[in-house]
Amino acid sequence: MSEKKLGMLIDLSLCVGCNACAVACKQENEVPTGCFNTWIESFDVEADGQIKRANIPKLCNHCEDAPCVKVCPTQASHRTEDGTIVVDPERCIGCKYCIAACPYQVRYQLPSGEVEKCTFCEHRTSKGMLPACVGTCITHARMFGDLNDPESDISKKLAASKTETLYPDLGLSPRVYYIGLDDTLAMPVASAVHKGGNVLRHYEG
Amino acid sequence: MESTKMSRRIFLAAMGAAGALSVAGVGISGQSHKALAADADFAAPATGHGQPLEASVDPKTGDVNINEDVIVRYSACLGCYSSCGNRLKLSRDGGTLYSVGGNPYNPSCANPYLPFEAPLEDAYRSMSYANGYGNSTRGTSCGRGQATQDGYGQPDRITMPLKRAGARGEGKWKPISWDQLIKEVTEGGKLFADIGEDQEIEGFLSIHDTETPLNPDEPTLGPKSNQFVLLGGRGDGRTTFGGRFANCFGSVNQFGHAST
Amino acid sequence: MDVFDPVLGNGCCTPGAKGITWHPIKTATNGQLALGMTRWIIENKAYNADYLGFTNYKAAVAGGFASYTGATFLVIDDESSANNGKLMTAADAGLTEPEADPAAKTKPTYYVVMDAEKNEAALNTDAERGLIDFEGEVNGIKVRSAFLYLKDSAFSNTMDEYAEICGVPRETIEDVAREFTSHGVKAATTGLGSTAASNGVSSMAAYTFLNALIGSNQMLGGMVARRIGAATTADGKRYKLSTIAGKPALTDAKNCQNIGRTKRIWKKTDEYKNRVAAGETDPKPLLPWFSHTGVSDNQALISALCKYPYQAKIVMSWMTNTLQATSGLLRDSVLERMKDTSIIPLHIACDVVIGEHAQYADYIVPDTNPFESFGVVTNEGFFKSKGNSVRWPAKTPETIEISGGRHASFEAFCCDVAKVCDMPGFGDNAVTDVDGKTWPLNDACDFFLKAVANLAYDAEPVVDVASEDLKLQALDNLPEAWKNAVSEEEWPKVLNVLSRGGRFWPMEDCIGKNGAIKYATDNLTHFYSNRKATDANPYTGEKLSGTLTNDPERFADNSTLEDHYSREEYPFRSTNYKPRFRSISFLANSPIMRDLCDHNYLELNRDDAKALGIKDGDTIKITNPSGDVMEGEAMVRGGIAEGTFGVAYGYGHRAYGAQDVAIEGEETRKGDPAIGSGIHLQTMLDPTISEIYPLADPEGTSPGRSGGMYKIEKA
Repeated sequence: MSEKKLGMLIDLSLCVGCNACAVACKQENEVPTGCFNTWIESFDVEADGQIKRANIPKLCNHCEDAPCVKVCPTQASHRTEDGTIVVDPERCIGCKYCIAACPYQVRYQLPSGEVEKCTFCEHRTSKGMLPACVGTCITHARMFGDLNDPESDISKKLAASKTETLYPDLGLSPRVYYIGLDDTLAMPVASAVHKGGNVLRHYEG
Repeated sequence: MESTKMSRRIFLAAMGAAGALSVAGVGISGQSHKALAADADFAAPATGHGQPLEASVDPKTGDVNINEDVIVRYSACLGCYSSCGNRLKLSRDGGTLYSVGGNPYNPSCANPYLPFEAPLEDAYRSMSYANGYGNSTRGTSCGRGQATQDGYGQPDRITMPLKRAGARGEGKWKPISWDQLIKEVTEGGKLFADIGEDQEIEGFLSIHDTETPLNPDEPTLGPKSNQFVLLGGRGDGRTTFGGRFANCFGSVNQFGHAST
Repeated sequence: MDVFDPVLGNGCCTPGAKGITWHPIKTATNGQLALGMTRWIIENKAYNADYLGFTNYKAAVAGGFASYTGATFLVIDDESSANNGKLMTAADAGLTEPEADPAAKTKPTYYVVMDAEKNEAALNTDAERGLIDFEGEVNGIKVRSAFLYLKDSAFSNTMDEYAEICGVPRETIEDVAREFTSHGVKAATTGLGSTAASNGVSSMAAYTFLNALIGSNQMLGGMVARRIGAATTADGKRYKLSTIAGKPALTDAKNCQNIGRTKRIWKKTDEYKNRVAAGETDPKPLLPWFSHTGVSDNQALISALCKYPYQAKIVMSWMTNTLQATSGLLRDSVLERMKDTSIIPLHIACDVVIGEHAQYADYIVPDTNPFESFGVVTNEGFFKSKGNSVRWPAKTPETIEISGGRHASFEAFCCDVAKVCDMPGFGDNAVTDVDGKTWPLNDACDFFLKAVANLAYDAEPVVDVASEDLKLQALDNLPEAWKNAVSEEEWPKVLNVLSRGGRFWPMEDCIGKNGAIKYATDNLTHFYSNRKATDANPYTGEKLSGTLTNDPERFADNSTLEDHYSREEYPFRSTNYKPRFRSISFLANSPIMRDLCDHNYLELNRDDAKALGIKDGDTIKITNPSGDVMEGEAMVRGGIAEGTFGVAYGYGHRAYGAQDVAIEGEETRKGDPAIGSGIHLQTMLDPTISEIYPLADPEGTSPGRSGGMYKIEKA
């Protein structure tokens, strides 16, 4: 087992949906127009007779049991030492198996054929630096660090909080943890769901 | 605190040539950075994407290793009027702006913010996930603040003086020299005779009269110089300069972003 | 925490946030909400009577507070007095003011109070405590405490009426008022942007008044005045940047009226006097006048377009887009006037791109962008310590190089025009330092680095920059002109401030005795304003109230919107807010921002939408009584108040890259329609003004971008 295991923790009570993370990511990683390595889904919910605004940041979950890695015929999609899932552009043949296999729908194909997605800013995090999205999260909703180090900030907060992951029933062991995810998803939706500011799903009301 | 004891390793040696190469390898047009770096820490990312790294930080010890090819400067944001600070990551020659973030020394970006006296290596640490640092002390900037780089980096930038070459609002312009600009706006005259406009236009010199009332029947309206109106200035820290110009010219008409 | 907002923004009201509640409030009713809370607070004696009784700053500070109010100041309520309706002066009361300090720059203002201990009239500086509910005679003149005027105003409506006006349940107003007054000085109200309505002036007062009722102004846990910084671009520790030898002595108050028609009472204009002298009875102005507000850029532009009260012969618009940012002005009738060179004969724009406003310029001066310019800023927001951000050119400007090794910029333009015009304050010997030595001003660095020096030397001077910081940030390679802009001794300290992007004093140092904010100055909240009380509406002659009132939205002549148009026909009001994906008028040219949100929406409450047969995603049409039509995509949601539609500003550009730009010698820059996508809110015109005049606050000048009257239909 490798020494480090990197992961992210997102406290949904703190996420104000400002999308600073999404802008930072696009600039840091030169993400093409129309594609997002991370994004926020924002929508109104009803809770005890009140309306609240929910914001759920999404990104690659860097699953421990990553289906994208399994289906990749060329090992382009692979796991690095610290557990980050990345795509080697030199080996990617653009077969898109991984896009179909990812339940989180975080992958996209470039016009040149290669598939890309969030790298956890591997070029930064492998050197101890925060990923761009976490580094500019204005409310500290996003945290990042080594899940294997019990003294890390993220490990301490994980230990002290009730956390959830997206689609836990798939058994993929995602490494993006949320605080307040299940509660939020259980609330009746009271508006369209926006990805950034664009409509992802219209409100049926 | 442990941080004060931590050593900093700055790579001063063999930077010249490698530095020049890595700067040349980076473009604002979005090519990947197949840059050479003198230290393995700062090799180009395997995924082919990502801006040059400003430093590496040991997550356990907090040791900082700074990339000398990249400089980080702290300044103030203008993504809106909230006057926060910002952090600019640049090539060492200052020619390329890689990214914009928040200033950890500025209370509008960080809470708690770094003391003025805190060494720059603490600011680098605030961008790392080293225990006790970036997850709580990072300097952040909102999406608007970061997108200023994108907005102001567009090719529609005006870099030379332009003079109207068609009717007002028609969108036709011609480049003129700085000297011609100053001469025409100060001296006035039939400035648009070349496009068939016969109107005699008063320049700054003509209305620079701080004694004669602009309307003798209504002297409290002020002197002729008050017919210069400056719209502009906001929470940008430059407004006082515009105010100085208008007031010294003899006008009280400087309007910042007050009510729009 | 309770958030009152017509629209639920992406903010702190998240499902997981504990104790934060969003209350949908009818747009443009903030003043009324505050009055409702005030009524409950006064009825239940929940205000801080101890604090309100203090008559001056010194007494309040000794009593454990950091500010004081004018609650005890006596107001003349006597028609037989020449000063009826004004705050009583020492002369009115037959009292004597202390002799003025001949060395003092400004003369203190004295008020008259009813001394609570001696039960006699006294100057506020002579009494420690006064009565907040005094009604009686002083020196034979009938007077009342200022606090009673606020009370009268608050009691002019019942709690149920406030609930009805604001669309907020009575219990909510009462609960919030109770909660607000249950934590001593550790509670605060604040707001931004809610002033942009035609009754916005009251919302400004509302926040300060509520904080004043509990004594939380300038206290830890309460509300701190905005922007506490050092004297930087003013007369500071090293350079006198506001004292300018030879500057013309022109002020609004005396001899120089700003074109935006503020700071002067209509009846005190020369125009009024001349027209009366010529035999006119009760003449009315072409455009409104505003006595008690500061300057207003949107009013200034309207004035320039109407050549009233005088012609603006040269308009320079600098990094601004007043035309686009003033809701209601971006319309064809206005654009025709912008095109007319007989109205504004010379229009110079200074900017980095050609926006809506600059599109109508004669000349464009290239400016430096925010990564290339200087600026010394006091931070917006409510930061309780002290400090300033410093912006400085982190990269070489891309504008053309001009004489003296400079780059084209606004500052260089000012310096060069000033030189030709032989203006004071620029060129050789333009700036004086504290030792009397003079310095030149030929470019931005000559001015702003001196401001940075003032910051570096404020209170305790900072230490010199560390040599490793010079290397790390390449500060050893800055232009020679920068170094020459300050003294040799100052330069290393200036560099240290540049290195940190400003200077901020430690948070822990800002809290003084009893939790008072140390950097706060003599802070007074007037519950009664002389300036307001001595003005009248220029069209009706109706006197303005000296305190916070429950005014509905109004046109220039104080008539309500409903006096002119049918609320049944136009049942909706707008709320126009700053979006996450654009800025005020800028950032539409950022492809990343457009990628995140390609257009804005017309946001509609789900019950309203149901009644109108509108579904989320439908194209809908919004019309105001002036006939302006806006079409856009409906966003149907629970997070907006009923009867309100929301629209973010910064969208619907016509220029700013949405238009073609043809520059001789280069290929035409084709406009990108994506930059112009979305809806620009069009505020209705004021039917009581014969000129082009969008709905605006008749007291406060604010554009009526929130509120108004609109009808909504499926397109």
